[in-house]
Amino acid sequence: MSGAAVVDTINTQDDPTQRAPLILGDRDLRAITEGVVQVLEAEKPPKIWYALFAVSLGFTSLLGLCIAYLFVTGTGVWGLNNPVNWGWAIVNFVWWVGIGHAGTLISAILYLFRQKWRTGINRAAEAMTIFAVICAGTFPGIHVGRIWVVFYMFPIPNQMDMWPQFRSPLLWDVFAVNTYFTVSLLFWYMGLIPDLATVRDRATTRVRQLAYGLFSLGWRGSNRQWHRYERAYLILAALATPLVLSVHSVVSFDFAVSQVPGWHTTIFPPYFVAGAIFSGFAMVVTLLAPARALFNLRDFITLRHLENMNKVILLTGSLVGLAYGTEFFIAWYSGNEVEAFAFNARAFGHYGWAYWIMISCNVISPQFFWFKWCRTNVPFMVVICIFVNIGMWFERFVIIITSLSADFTPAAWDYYSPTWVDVCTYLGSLGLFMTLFLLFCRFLPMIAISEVQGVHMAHQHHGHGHGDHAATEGTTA
Amino acid sequence: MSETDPTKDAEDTKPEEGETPAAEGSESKAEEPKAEEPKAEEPKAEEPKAEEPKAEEPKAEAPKAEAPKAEEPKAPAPVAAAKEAAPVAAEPLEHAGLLVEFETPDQLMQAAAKVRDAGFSDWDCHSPYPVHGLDKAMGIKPTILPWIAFFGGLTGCTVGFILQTYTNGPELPFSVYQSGNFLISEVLAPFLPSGYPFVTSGKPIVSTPANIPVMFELTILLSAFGAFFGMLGLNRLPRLHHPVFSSERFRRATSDRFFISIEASDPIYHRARAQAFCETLGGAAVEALEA
Repeated sequence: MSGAAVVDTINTQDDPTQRAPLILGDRDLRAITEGVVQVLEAEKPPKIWYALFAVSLGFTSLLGLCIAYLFVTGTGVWGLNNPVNWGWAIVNFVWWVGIGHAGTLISAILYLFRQKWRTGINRAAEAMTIFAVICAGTFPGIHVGRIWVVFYMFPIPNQMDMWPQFRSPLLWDVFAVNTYFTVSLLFWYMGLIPDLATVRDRATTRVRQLAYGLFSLGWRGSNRQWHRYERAYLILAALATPLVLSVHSVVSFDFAVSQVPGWHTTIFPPYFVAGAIFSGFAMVVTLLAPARALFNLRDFITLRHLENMNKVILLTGSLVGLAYGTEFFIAWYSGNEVEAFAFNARAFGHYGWAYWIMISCNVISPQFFWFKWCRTNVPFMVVICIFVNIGMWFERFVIIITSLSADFTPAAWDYYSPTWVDVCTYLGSLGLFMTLFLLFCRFLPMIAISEVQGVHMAHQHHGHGHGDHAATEGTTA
Repeated sequence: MSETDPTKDAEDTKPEEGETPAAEGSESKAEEPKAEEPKAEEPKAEEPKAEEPKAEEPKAEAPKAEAPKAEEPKAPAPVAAAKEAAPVAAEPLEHAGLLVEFETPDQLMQAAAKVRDAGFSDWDCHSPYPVHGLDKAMGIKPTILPWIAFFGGLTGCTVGFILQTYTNGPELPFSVYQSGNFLISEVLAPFLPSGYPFVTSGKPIVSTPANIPVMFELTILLSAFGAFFGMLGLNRLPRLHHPVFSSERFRRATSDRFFISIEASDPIYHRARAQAFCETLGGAAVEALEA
């Protein structure tokens, strides 16, 4: 929209005497609305959108085919073998759930910390969360093998009087992931309601008016509604914060509660959560850096946003590095032979290659973000973030596969390699993720319009002042 | 306003309450701050009556439905009077209220305080984003939503505990069922622990620490349901139509304009006076709404 969008405005220099503007381009309310909805009001999306969508849809079909093949034939089509009963499916599950965490962190935790810059990216990040959790949920669902008895996972009364084992972390996982998905969806949808109403009110065709009208639930921006809405938003943020920390902790319990050397450690919950946020932010940058260019949203998702996210990546990446170090230290310091062997085998055994890919991607690559140039150069940061995503996938691979392939009994050891079905299912899940994300970009407001307007106006009019001052001004002036 | 006497009492109160702000508005502006400051205190006392406590309950729909009918017979006379006073007012099919448009949030805030002081209760401000400070300017009481979320959470936690104890709990000894106690064998039987007692790692059958994750997740889940659906319920959403949507102008309320709407169902609403009052609010336009 704005002419300044072709070249990135550098807004990453800090002047401590004044607040950095949250959005660029000197926009008023109308210009903010238009800057966001132009993406979905454009007659046609950019040509590359079609190309990407076609490719993504192709991979999604691949996912469908692989799953169908799996159901018809059985889990034997995967590379699972006797010690390694959890293969790529669980690796992918943990990886995808982790990616989702950044969205909730941005939308809930940064909200509680009053980080106003989050308004530029929270909508897209939350959407990413939901799509990532959909991809994640697919894997354990199809991993059960006999899909027709998948309802055993849920406490549903049945003719055998059989109930789930509530002391199993796998069951906690069912509850954690389902709750996480539901709450994220509610939170995201609630944020969308006022913006859908904006699109409804600007609609020029009957179809749009009906479709957006239906989903905006008759929202009319009334202050009595806003009052309860904001309270609900705060409550959901306060609920989502412990939830997001619990979800990956529960996922890590799947491993930590078992006896397998390399899994049975107390560091797992914080280590998994840090890794989740790390990979999630990397995915947000990977998606939003091209999306902001493609859809002309550089004024809303500014370089400053990207830089802030890169700082989070640096922090969480370093935490993950620290966790790797701690694991090794404990393996040695505990004096437990099996544990020491497991970690030695991780770094220098048959899967050493995977371990060193993980170390170079996760520990070394984010360290570039100490330098401002690296944090603010868009192509460079995207490359780093893709490395981080690869590294985090390998982290899950290393934890799951190396630990299982060589446990207490040497006679049971075996090397695991994936089959083409494993690979295609994984690629297919990436396709599903991209398909959903592209549809989101095209049909829903990618930026939280009302939130950006709110923080922008508060920032413009009252400087550092508070709403309450404005109220007294209002009644007495 | 109390709900029992929207028609009769309203008649009496209208002249005083409706006229004062209108009269003030027409006077010199220098007097306004003085005149309004004492009123800024009043609403605190008025609030409970004027606002939320009942609006939170579904009951509030009832007077809305009744009031317009009660107003209708009176309407023709004021309409005639309103015509001279209000050039904007068209002849709507069924009058549902008035809409005032503002260009900035500050104008909205000032006008909101005036409407509040005039004693209206069925009115609202509309803005594209939540304008902070407006709650105070409108005299809105804090919502009961946190309580709904809290009890949702409490329910979730309890359900989580009972579910796990019930399903993984031990069955009662067979002799208890056979004891001939009608209450146990016939009434309570379906609700007593049905038993899938599955001992792992030598832990007790009912091992609360292991039950905490599920209890926690259900607490969060049901609180979130309480917050989300409670918000929708208290806001009376989803809703297919509302009189404000009859205005073409109102389409900008979700984008870049600010509005005050006063509904005809308000107990002290009198069309001509309300119209005159709205003219004094300093908005960019005043429009009549159709039902």
